[in-house]
Amino acid sequence: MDIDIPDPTDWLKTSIPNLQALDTSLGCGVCKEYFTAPMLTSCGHTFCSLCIRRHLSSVQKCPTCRQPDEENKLRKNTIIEELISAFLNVRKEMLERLAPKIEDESTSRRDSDIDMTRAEKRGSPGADDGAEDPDTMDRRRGKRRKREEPPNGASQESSTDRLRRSTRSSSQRTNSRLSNQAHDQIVDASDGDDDFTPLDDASDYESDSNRGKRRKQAARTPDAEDKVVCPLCFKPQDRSTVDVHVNQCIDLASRASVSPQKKPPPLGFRGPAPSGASNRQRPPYTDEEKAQLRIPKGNLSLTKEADIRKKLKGYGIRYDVSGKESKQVLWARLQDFINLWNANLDSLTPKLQRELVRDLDARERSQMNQKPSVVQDKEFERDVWSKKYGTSFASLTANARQSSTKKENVSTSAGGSSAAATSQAPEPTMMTAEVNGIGSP
Amino acid sequence: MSASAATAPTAPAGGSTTNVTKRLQKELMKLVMSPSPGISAFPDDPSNMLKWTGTINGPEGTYFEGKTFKLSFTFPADYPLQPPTVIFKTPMFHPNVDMAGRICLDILKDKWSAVYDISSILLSLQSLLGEPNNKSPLNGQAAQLWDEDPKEYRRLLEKRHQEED
Repeated sequence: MDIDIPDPTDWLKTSIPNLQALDTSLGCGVCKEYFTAPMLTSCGHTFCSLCIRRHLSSVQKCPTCRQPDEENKLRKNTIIEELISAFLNVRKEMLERLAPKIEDESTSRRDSDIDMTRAEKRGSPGADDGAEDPDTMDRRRGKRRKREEPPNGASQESSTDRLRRSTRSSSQRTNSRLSNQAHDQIVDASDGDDDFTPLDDASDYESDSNRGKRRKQAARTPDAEDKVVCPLCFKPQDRSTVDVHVNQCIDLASRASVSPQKKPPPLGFRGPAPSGASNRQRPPYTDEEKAQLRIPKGNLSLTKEADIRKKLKGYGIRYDVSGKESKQVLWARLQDFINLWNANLDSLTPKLQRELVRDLDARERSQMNQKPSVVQDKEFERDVWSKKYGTSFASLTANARQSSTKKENVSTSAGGSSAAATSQAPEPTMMTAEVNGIGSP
Repeated sequence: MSASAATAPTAPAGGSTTNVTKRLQKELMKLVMSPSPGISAFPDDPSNMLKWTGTINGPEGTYFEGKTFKLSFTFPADYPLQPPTVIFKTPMFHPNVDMAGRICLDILKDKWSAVYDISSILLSLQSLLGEPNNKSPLNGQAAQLWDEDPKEYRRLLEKRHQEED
């Protein structure tokens, strides 16, 4: 059994727990898994093809809003399918990157602790430092905000962000140039802005000139930190021009995919679905083929039992030859298979017929020890019932009315209300309790 | 996921896990990982996912405040197309619950939908405790006393609650 079962709750322990909502909305409301072959109902809700087909063959209503719907009105929801495959492609990596990194945090904290002690040792004049502190804090904050603004090189920055912040604060307060030189270089080279200097003027006149020099050097000869690898062509690009370059790359790529060379799109913009198709045993059906292959549901009362058997035999589905199984059982099995078959046509990776027959068998075996539960809410059954027995019901009500008026005439009305209440009790047919908060999880 | 791996039952004989079991495992995961306040549920036996026990804390500001109620869930083989059978195990005194613990709630009968799950049932029941439907009572006495005689209602509820063993 695969231990790595993806679940929306996986996101709860990451730094963005709200991704749970995104993950949940990519799941089918019926089976709670990611949509397989998502289909759109006529009321605009989406379910797995098999889930909604099974549901509609027991209740002809949308599971979410209870609007009447029919199986032949279902339409494919392609964009959801693409969304899921794109999401699943990055899901694992996203989980890894967003997982809280305990080791990193502890090392950086230790780092800053050391700096703090150093700062305490060195900062003997004390008074100056204290007066200046809130000011530097403010400026630092402002600067931080500024640093977060440019979107380029975000991935590199985020990983070293914490480390850098701690080193800078320590370097401002202390004059430990030697130990911090390496870090400082990184900071200044990647920032490249100038509102850093005034801070140093106040506390650190000595390192100011050094830093200025270093900054100039960095500006003139950009080192490895200033290079960004283009995600499309993988060539290192200058940070300042990378946006322009990426745009060019995208243009090139789109032109290439239109051209008859049939080069696969570079970043999987269209999802992995079309590219994976060639590896499959059997190519996905075209729309015309699908329409031809779809099996109509038929009608139980219009179908003869012998015909059901013939069909089951035709599809290679087992049935009791001696005729012990009732027409209902045979019909249910046929319907089950048709659901599997029609849902399979919507799938990107269709299975072979014999695999479907095997699935059908496994499903029936798993349900064997449990009796199928009684269907409680088939509207038409209720209608048929009320039509059939409508007259007898009417006469019964008339009788009841007569006897109750007689009773009232005979006896006084004392205690009548409680008697009526208890007589209702064993009849749980009127289920009208309105309940709030059903939809909210 | 380690949480589910520990509690996940072995697949039934004959091959893959069934749809019912799979779906119930998902629900268990959700209940364990992101629990809603005041409700909980867990399978009775890890080898049979079709029987669960749930608990509801009585909502604040109602007769049931401070009390905990246990319920049994029995899932049909075609869950979630069909609703589970839910019964109060803790003795209950409520207009829409009979003396055997059976519940009169539309979403457990004809208003059931396959998109509901255990937590939505428990939340509905929790709100049913505070807002009963006195128009179609299963327990006529409770329905009458609910509005007319709160003191007597409280006394009978306490008495029923003590019957728990």
